[in-house]
Amino acid sequence: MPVSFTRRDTLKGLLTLGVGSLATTLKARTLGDDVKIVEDPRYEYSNASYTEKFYRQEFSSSYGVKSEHGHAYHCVNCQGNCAWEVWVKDGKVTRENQSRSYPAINPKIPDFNPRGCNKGVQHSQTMYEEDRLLHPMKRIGKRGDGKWQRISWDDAITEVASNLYQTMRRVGPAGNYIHIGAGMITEGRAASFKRLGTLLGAVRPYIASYVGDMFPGVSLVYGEGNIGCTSDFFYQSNLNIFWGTNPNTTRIPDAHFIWEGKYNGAKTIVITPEYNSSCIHADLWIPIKPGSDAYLALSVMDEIVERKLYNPKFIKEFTDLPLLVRKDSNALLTLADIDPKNALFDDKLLEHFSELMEEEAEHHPVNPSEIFLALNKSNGKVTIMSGSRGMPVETLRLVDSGWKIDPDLDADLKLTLKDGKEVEVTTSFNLLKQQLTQFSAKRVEGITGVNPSLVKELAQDMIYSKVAMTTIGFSLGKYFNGMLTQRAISSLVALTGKMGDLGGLNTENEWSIEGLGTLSSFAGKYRHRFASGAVSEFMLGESMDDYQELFSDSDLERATGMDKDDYQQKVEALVAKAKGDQGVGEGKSYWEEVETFVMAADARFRRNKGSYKEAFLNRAKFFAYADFRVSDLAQYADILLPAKSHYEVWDIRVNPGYHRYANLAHPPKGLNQVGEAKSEWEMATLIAKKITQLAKEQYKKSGDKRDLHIADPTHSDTGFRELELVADLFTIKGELESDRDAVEMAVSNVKQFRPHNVKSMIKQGGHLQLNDKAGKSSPLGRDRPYNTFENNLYLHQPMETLTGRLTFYVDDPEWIKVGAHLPIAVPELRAEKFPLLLMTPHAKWSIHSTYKTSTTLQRLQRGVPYAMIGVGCASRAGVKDGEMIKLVNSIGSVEVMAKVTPNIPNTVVLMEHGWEPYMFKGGVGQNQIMADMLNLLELSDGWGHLKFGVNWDGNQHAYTTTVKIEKV
Amino acid sequence: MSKRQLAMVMDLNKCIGCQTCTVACKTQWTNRNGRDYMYWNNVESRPGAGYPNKWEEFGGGFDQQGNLRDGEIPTRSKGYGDPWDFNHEELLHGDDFKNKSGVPAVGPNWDEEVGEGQFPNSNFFYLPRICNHCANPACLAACPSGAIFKRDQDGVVLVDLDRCKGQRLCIASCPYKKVYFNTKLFKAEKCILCFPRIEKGLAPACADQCVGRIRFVGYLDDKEGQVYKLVHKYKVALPLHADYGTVPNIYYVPPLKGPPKFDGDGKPIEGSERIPLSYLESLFGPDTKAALKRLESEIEQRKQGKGSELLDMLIAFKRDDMFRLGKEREI
Repeated sequence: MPVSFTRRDTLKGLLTLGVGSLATTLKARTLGDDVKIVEDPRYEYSNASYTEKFYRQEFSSSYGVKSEHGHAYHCVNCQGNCAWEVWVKDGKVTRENQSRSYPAINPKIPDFNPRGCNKGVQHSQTMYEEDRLLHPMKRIGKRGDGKWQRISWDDAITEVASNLYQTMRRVGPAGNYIHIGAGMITEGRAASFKRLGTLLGAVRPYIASYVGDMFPGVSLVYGEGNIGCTSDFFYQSNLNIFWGTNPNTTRIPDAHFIWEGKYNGAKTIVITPEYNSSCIHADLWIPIKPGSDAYLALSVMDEIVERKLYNPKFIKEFTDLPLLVRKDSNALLTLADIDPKNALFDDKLLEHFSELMEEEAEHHPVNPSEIFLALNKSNGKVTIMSGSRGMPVETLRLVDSGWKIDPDLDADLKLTLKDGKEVEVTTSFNLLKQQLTQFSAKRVEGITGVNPSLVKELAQDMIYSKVAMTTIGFSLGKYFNGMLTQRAISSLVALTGKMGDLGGLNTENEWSIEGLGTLSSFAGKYRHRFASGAVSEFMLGESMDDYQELFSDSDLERATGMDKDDYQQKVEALVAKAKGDQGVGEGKSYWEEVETFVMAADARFRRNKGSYKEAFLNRAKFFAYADFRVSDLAQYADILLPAKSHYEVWDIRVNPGYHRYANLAHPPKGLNQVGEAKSEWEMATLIAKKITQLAKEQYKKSGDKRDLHIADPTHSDTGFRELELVADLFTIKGELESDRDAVEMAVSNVKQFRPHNVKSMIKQGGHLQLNDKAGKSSPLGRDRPYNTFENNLYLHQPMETLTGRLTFYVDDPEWIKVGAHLPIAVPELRAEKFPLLLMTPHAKWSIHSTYKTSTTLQRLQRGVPYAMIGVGCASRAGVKDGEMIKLVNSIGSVEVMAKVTPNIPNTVVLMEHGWEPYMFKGGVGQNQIMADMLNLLELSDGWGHLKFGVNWDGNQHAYTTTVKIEKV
Repeated sequence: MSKRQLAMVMDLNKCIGCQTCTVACKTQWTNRNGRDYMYWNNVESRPGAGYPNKWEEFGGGFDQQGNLRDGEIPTRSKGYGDPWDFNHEELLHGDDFKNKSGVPAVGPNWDEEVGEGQFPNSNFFYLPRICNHCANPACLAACPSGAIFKRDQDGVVLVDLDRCKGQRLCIASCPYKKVYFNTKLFKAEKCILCFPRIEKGLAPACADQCVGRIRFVGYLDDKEGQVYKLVHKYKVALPLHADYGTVPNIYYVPPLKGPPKFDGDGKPIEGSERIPLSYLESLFGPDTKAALKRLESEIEQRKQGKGSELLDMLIAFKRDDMFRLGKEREI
């Protein structure tokens, strides 16, 4: 009887049974056979206890003893941050169960229990998998050959430290690249290598940028990219829009609030090209053509403006739309342009403001070219507007003691400037109105595929819903035009007047946490070399070659108006300006002298594109890698450092602010050590000590001061890296040597954690509730969900933008040149040579690449890499579900299983991201047939608040690649 | 002797298909001892093949006269698929990651999120399934050894591992194909509704760990409980395939009709049924329409600011209130 088991089991089963040919259909016994008639099956059964004992015993073997349980979360750059209990028995983790003990904030708002997902719930299986790294290893064959020699920790650390040291001596601090990657974004553990890198002056690229998860277009409008709400906000919203995001798949622990919100009366709209797991519960799904989202956003804006649905009061107070713009240059009119004696100018108000400004001048200098003007309807005069960066009067109030401004949104006038030139000026609102007519619902329908009736519905819903929240996902930034898309949607939301408790835009809220800096930094005395993620990785991977390979001149012309080489030259010119120590402050920093890499939790070969892998391996003279498992990247390391995994360490995690709890990780009591694994803090401590030792020894031998003090005029206040101090500085003379030290220091330092401590966190189930100081631009109310910008909306605090207002207008000459001074939509960059857009969204079955190799999870997928293709697409290619196909383009090809679905358009191939190259035939992964280009607008730097940093960097894009399908 | 029935209601309108339940169940019970291939809890995408694949075609249950119907035992090639293994141990040695079974052809979640229809008017929804702990269990009726029983205190259906002789008629007879054969133990095994957890005041792993908060657990005779109210008072929770005659005790709030379909111009068709009612009725029976209507009208009322006990219940403000196990948590 062929009942299914593993082959070995089946064989055993067959032998025992001694049968092999029984029919599988069993005839039911009928009355008349010896069938026992069960009148009431709930009869007293005499032999229950045998079975009950059996399963009770099994349960208690998994549960162990509560007092021995640990707590953890799965901090592999999953933003979920969920508190788990780690069950342990006889020193071995058995399984995990959520803590589900987050305190409710309000009996009428659903609580946050339990958080977690399909990945976190199986870490206990992964941590003991046979790909676990157990011992330090040294490569003895060629890179990637898998020939290793097991070495001691001391030997491994010596190799790492001496390579870092030699590189500092030979190249300088910028030759080292020390990094904890996207595999571990926690405040506790990730600070370890950050601290080491900062102390040594090493290069560290910006993760959000290189993985393409930044929201630069949101920063443009709002002054910061990470804005929005705690997830319980969805519950009490009247309208929830999910745009370019699939929360049922990528925000699993938070999704329940959305559908509870629907029960509470909210309308839910999902805007995505595919019919996905979130669409199924939505009230409305809008299937949009991939990459056309900005067109849709602008068409909704056009609808709002055309029908005057906007709230003029909001626009006047909080946006830059009333500001005057010179028609001759398209530049914003500033105080620097104007002679205050001009009869049209309100010099009295300037005088009044000047008094206020003098009072404030000490800590907020005046800059007339960053003070902007509007036409005041109440007196017909051109007047300065407070709240901008150049103006010390830090309020957006239009009416206050001493002033009353009613900005004219429709102003159009002639003005004589200080230099005697007469110019026409108008409002940015007038210019926006004009701009939007190009994007009316009818005009863009062919591009977006969205019927104008839906544009109308969106406009009305977004305006008339009392509380309306629009959440945008990372997928939008993955298109080459993504920054402009983010900006267009941000502008749309800004136009609807929703902020604070009324909703608005939601990306990822970030709590304001003070006191964690001491873990990773040295009060600013020593600085790391903070590199642009996108530029740094793109240049390191020599990715221009792939760009040349995949795209044609006409692809570029369609997307940018320039030909391929022209665009590349312009990008290269911008990139070159910001290169190295000399380029700091000139744009997107990056250092091309990097050659020694010490990294942890960073499976970069699966993420980076095209020929990155070869380029990286050529560049890396030495490459040490720490992880708990053998990732694709680990196979190529020179030194492998076995790391502890999430249940074996102490750690703390706060952000992002999907919820108001900080989670603690601490290992179960009596947990058996897995191999020789160490925590990243222990590794970094050993490396720091070893560097000091090596440098001292070398100095003793040579007497050459340069062996001890590495010159670093740009990133160290002392001008040097004093290596004899590294061990003591790193460990604060022994106070900070382990993951546990780091967590205890963090918990006692952070204001927002008070009055909690480690003990109280453990008692509560491995977490604490942040106090009211955690809100950045709103108070964190005790009994209501959080959303950003209440302080702006109600206290009229300026935004962190150039004008202090929601920014629609960017008068950077380069932006004006390409028409991007106003929100605009442009076609995305894609290689038209191939018919199908390769979309690679965040995964349901892995956290990026982590857990992609999980047996438990693979069994619930297809067991091999697969791609979804539409029914029509499959039939055109003659492909059936389950067949192996090749995705082919001019860079290469990759072999996957076809999963045929009616839920995606026939113009795309949809494949979850994160598959590691070694999971594919020939070791060529899905990203290795991708090409990208840095976007000139994302590279531009220096205008107002668009200055390189965590809010303004570019993205590496992914939805640029097209393929065709071939049968294998 | 108290003869109570513990039951579960799953709200399919909150199910996000994340499979946390599936994996929670697996690590609690089925990742060892010959149970690797078993999914006491699985979540299938419907319309679709489910797990075991096309389980509804394997027969079992009772006919109209109350006689057991013929049933078939699923096999590796027909129904279950392989529990694939991989070569993790070879990765350190530079090998590629490989599925040891070669190119797979079927699995427990093979057609995840596929459903049916034509883009952009396709549809699918998630259907989580565990043993129904039926009031009239076909497995129990079919067992020639009399080795299947229902517990007095909670109606949990268990295979007596002492007396089970491994004849597998229970597997053939269960119309839900929720009894499995363990070749290591040479016994039938199935979902035990986590009774050892319940005895400690802890909900079953699939419910306790459900992040969509879709599962209510309680006694059917507890008139204050959500299970009673959803099943009997509001009648929005319905059993799956009541037509199989086993009187199942797992109930489902059926999925609402889904976002509107589109006409040829891309205009939404008001009132269109993305998920055809007839399909839902084939699963949840003739009361589906009334259940959905009730739900829709309560949501409409809620939009107008009126209260709704039913929706408050489904929202489930406090997760711990979703379980009424008649016992405080002991651990």
